[in-house]
Amino acid sequence: MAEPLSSDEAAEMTRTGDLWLFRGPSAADHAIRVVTNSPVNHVGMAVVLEDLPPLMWHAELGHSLLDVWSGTHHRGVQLHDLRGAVATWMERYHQSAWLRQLHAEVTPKMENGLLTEIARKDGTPFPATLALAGRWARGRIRRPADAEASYCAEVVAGAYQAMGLLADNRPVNWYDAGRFWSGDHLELLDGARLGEEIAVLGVVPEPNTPSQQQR
Amino acid sequence: MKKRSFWKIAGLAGVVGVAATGVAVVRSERRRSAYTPDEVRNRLHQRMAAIEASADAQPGVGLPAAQPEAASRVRRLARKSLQLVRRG
Repeated sequence: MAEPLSSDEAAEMTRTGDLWLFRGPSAADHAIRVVTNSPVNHVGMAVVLEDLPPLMWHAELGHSLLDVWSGTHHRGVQLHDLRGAVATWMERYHQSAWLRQLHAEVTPKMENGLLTEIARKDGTPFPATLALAGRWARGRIRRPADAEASYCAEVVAGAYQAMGLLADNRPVNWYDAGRFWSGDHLELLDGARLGEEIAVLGVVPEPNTPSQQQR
Repeated sequence: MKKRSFWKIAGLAGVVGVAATGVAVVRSERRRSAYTPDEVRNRLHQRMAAIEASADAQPGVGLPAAQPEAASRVRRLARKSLQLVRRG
């Protein structure tokens, strides 16, 4: 019964707090997955407010998409049109995508917490050199792509904490993309839970495309 | 134990695929409007301005209930500053 969704159906169905997981074919993506002990290398979170189009809150190295909070193009923590972000990750970066639905009532208060978090974090660049060195020393960062994999999870963890879905007893840099995979056990508060991965259909990736990871 | 968790515990989750076993739960329809990126941005900023305005207008509201939250905010701040110090 586990039917895959088209990316358009998934974008139409997704609601605030749903996770979008990505798995890419490049050597860097593969290395990230081995290091973080996870089958996925990127995570983002859907933001679906009022009658606005679905948005994606995540951190990425690329800056090809417009950030709809700042109105600019920049790397780092970004709020994108979700359809555009999914198309970029699937078609341009050749990643497979999965949707995990959040089963919880997202109240206006939670949405306000999330917006406050977005206002605070949007545009945050990837950790500056010194901070990166610190993370590298703690074994978390080896290459810029690793920074993306670790930072995207921090951003989602921060959003979950801002919505009161995740306890704040761990620093957000404890999280990596794999913590948001169903094979891990993410403890959500107040009976909230995440569904298992639903495959999202995209274009078939071309094998060994040299342009992969060029952002 | 789920098979997926086994891979995580064994430290081999990085070499397995994602088992897409989830079944989509249909949500209630949402009314959607067509917005330009600028309009989306304006709507988001308007809502944020309203959040800030209501926070300024009602400083004392919900104070007793908010105290544990305030304590955790202090802890969070302390942790953040510690992280900042560590990050140099």
